[in-house]
Parts: sequence; C-alpha cells; structure tokens
Amino acid sequence: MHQRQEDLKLLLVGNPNAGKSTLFNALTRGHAKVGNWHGVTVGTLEKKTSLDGLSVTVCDLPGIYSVNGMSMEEKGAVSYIKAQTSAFLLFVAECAALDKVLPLIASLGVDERCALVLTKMRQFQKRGGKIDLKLLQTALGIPVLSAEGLPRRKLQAAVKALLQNGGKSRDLGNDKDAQEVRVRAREYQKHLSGFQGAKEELTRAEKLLSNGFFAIPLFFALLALSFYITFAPGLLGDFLKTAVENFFSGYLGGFAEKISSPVLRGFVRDGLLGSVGSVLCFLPQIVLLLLFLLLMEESGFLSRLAMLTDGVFSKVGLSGRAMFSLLMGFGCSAAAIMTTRGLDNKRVQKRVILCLPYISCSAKLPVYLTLSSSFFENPFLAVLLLYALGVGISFLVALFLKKDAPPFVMELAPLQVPRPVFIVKSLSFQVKQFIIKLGTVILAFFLFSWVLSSFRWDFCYCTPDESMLASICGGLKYLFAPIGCCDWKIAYAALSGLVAKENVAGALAMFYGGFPYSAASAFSFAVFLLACSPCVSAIAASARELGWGSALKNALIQTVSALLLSYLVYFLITGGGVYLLIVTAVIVAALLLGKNKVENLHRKRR
Amino acid sequence: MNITDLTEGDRCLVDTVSCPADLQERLFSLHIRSGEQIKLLKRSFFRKTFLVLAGGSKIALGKEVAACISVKKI
Repeated sequence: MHQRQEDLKLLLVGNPNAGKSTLFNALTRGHAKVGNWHGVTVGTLEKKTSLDGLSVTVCDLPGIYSVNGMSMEEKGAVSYIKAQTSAFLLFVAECAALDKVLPLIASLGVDERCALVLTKMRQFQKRGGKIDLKLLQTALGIPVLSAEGLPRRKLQAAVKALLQNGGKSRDLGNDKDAQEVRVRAREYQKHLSGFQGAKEELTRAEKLLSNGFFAIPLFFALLALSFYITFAPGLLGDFLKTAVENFFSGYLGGFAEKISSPVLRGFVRDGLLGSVGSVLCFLPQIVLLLLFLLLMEESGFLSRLAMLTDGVFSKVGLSGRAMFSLLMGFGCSAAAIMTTRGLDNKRVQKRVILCLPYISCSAKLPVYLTLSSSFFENPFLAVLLLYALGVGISFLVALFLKKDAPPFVMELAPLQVPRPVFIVKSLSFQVKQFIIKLGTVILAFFLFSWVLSSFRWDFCYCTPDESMLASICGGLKYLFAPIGCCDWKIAYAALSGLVAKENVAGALAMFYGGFPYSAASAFSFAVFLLACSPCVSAIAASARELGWGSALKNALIQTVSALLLSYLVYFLITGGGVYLLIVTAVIVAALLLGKNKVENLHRKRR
Repeated sequence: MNITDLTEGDRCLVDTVSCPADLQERLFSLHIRSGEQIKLLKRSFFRKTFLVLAGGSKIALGKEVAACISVKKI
C-alpha cells in the first residue's frame, strides 16, 4: 500500500548512549535530554519535522540491548517498535559498539524498511578503528551513513535519502530463534575490516575514578564545593542573587513606590516584584547547582559512582542504577521520577519513587534560603544540613521498604571532558523552562493570590487579614500552630507548594517579605517542606508510573507524616528533647523492672 | 571459578552463565557469553562490584551477577 507522505514515521533504534537523542535533536531542532549515561532516554518522544521538504515524524526511543529487554524502558521500546507496522527503522550505532547493534538489526530489521547511522566516528578513528561503509552496506543489505560532522541541513538531506532508498536487512530465513539470530549476526562481523574496541588498560583518570577510596571522597568534596560556591556569603552564587535582588527591590521597587494608586502600587510591589521577583532572584543559584549535576553526568563520573555505590544501595534494596534517578531528583522531582523507567522492574521503581520526594529539588531552594536566614547566619551550612537531612530520610524510607536488591549490570559511559557547547545549551534550555514556568504557572498563582489577599468580598482594598483569602483559609491557622505559627498565611504558603515549590518562597515574600517567626519555627517549617508531598507535576509523573490511586495515597501519607515530623522537630528543638529523654528513660526503666519482676515470679513458681 | 575469584588484570574465557533468562540475555548482549574472552579491570572496595572488559566495552557487574559467571583463566 502506498504510504502517504504525511504518515511517514522514523524510529531511532539502538543501544543506550549511541547518540539517538542527539540525532533526534539535530533532525528536529528538538530538546530531547541527552547525556553521557546509558539510559538517559526513558520514554518515547515524537516530533514532526521537515527533512529537506519531506514531512516526517521522528521518534526517539530508549536504548535497547536486545528484543528481550531486561528493564521496563527496553520492554516498552520493543513493544512500541513492534506496534509501528509501517515505520522506517533507523538504527543508530556508535562505531565502537557496532557489533552490539547487529543482533538488533538482524532481529528487527528483517521485515522492516531500515537503514543504519553510525555515530562517534572521529573518536573511533582516533583509537585506530576502521569501518568500510560500502562493505558494511553490502553485508547488511541496508544503506549505511556516518553522521559525524554533518551540519543539520546535510544530515536531514542524507536521512531523507535513506528514507527513500532504505531496504530490508538480509533475510535470515524463517528461523527467528534468538540464538540462531545472534550466531548469524556474529558472521557479519567477519565482513567488517577489523575495528578495535576500547583500550584494554584503564587510563590514570579511569583508575582513580573507579577507586572508591578516591572517587567517593572526591564526589563529596565536589558537592561541598559546589554548595559553597553557590550559597556561601560573598561568593559567586550569593553575589549574583544579590545583584538580581537589588535590581528588583531597589531599581524596579523604586519605580513601584512612585505609583500613586495604592491598589496598583500594591499589585506591582507585592503581587509582581515581591512574589515573582523574589523567586527569580534565586535563579543564579539554581543554575549553579544544575551546572554541577550536568558536569557530573556529562563527564561520565556518574557511571563510576553508580558502580562504586552499588554495594551501599543494595543494603537498602536498590542497585547502583538508582543513583542516576536520585541525583536527578536534585534538579527536578518530576524528571527524576520519569528516569525510574530505566530500573529493572516495577517493585524497584516504586521504592525509588517513594524515596524521591525527600531529595530536595531545585524548586525548594528559594524557600530553604528564605527560611535559613532565620536560623543560620551562613546559608551554606543551613542548606547543606537540609539537603543531607533529605538524603538521610530518603535512605531510611528505602531501608523501611527494603526488599531483595535487583542484579546490577551496567555499561560504563566513557570518561570525557564535558563539552562546553552542550553544557551551555542544556543550561539555557533549563533556564528558559524555569522562566516559562515563572511567567505562567507561578505568575498566575501569585496574581490569583494577590487579588484574593488584597480585597474583601465587596472588592474594597484591604490588608491580607481582612481579605477574601483570610475568610477562605482562616481555619488553616491551626495546621502549623504546634510549630509556633498559628497563622493561616503560613499554612497557605505551605499548601501553595503543591502547585509549585517556588510558590512557597514567593507567598512568604508577598505576605511578609521573609519569615516572621522564630528560628525553631523556621527550621521545623523547612523540615515540613523537605518531607511533604512533591508538586502536582511530580504527583502526575508518579501517577503515570504507579497509577493515580497510589500517587495520591503516597502524597497524602507524605504530607501527613511531614506535618507530624515538623511537630516532633519543633518539640525537640524547643526543649522538648529533655522531656522526651526523661519519659523514654522512665518507660525503659519500667519495662526493665517489669521484666525482672516477671522473671522472679517464674523462678519462684519453679 | 567465577569472576569474583579473579584478580585485577586477569584474562579469562567465559565458561557458563547461570542466571535468570532475562539477565542472561542482557549479559549476552554485552558480550558476556560462553566462549568470549573478558578481562577483569577493577574490583571495587569490599569486592562489591567488578569492572570487566567485554566486547570492547567496560561493564560493571554486581557481586551476585559476577558470581553467576563461571570462567577459565587464560
């Protein structure tokens, strides 16, 4: 049947870390996440594009090693491929790992129109590798293209030519037995002019970064350094934040004060600058933290960390692969939840998803910094403490839910110097996403909040305590009374975090300019925000993986337990620890005495 | 003997891989299969993970997985 041009679908198929997402972005100007890690892409991404005038839907898929994949993302990808009955399969292979993709071509390419694109050719040739493209083309029976160094337009034209000339790979007969397919695929390798794989010896850098006694302390040192540069007073992060703050409160705030209308002045000063501005000023610090995460991933250090920490993770029923998801959690909880598809099975995935809300995402940073000034002069120590607490709680949750750890098998990504162009592109994209979120979801929320908190029901301008919002939310004031904040505005700020965690900082800024209660209350409130349910985006991501029932139940349990934890922390900080110790000592003494009495009784009876 | 018995730098031939089918398939895809030559590059501290060179790629294996792969030293 003749396929209409507009129905053309191009599937990018290959092993993990082959360059499929990079190719997808090059063909479609898309923003698929790329990284130096086996398993970055965890879901199918589709985008319609024009390849030199030909309209095609390009689909980026998770990497697969075989059609009988082990992980959930592999199984999902294979199901997707098999469901696309008239799609064109573009196999993407790293030159140095070409032999690993041959069985995939042999399994999937026989009945389908396909072609092969080779990536990372330059790196491969530097190591003495050679591939004869014409010979390979003849051996496989499908067109082969090297993507190295091709500018976008030429790449699009070349892929269009592949689409028009692609054929079916050599028929292996009717025998689809997996073993037979693999044996036949190995025969193809004889047609390839000998290519050389990775060097057999580890380089000095690889030896160091594969040594736990060096790599683990290095990781913590780099983490502490990145926190220090980002949060310590007077350093880069603090300097940039202060500059943005001064621009909003000083320069723009000055204009706002000159507005004669009190309503408009209040709207600009509190609704816009006070709330949105107060969140935007944390952007430089968020970017610095994201930079650290990107460098870790892009350098290949993350792969080695996963290998070295597998022993620790297995003690809590996880494997080293969970390292990637947990580290991504420092960026965004929703994105981190999606990466859990790369884990071995649903049980492991569920446990990791339940741990992720306690990993402080970048959206919590503004509110941590707002609160930390109340209980720590140096925000660096405060934020470090809160992040460490979150990681600790996360591990405790994993330990509580512990089952058998899954087997750990992982191909290590190559060690490389992070590419500056890639880093700048990724960071720019993240900044753009943050500003879009700020200009839409967060701005809309604050406009809504400002209107409700600035007017009575008769639409007279008033203070927040007389406003519509006060009459709606007044009853919430008891929610945080046990931590010394009997105030509906604090409760409203906390609940606003369900929409986006940045809202909490903005709401506090809008109502108070800072946090008006004691250091103990500030710390307890921070603990609540650390441990409560993530934002709706993360809940939705969790629902996609676990179902809405589970996601909402988990969110409720997390919020209630976070509330109780904040009460306990406040109780302990404000001297309740002494009472708790006394009561615990009394209970333990009573139990021991009671036990002795029972033993004596038994002895007498005998 | 299996991979956990090797010392760093040892080359060997894979004899058998005794593990569940899906794990065996994954190991096969990564060139850890009967008759293939592999080399132990590194053991992590406390011998919890093993880094091997197989089919030109560096593969990290957990202890339980490494114990399933019986080998013959070359």
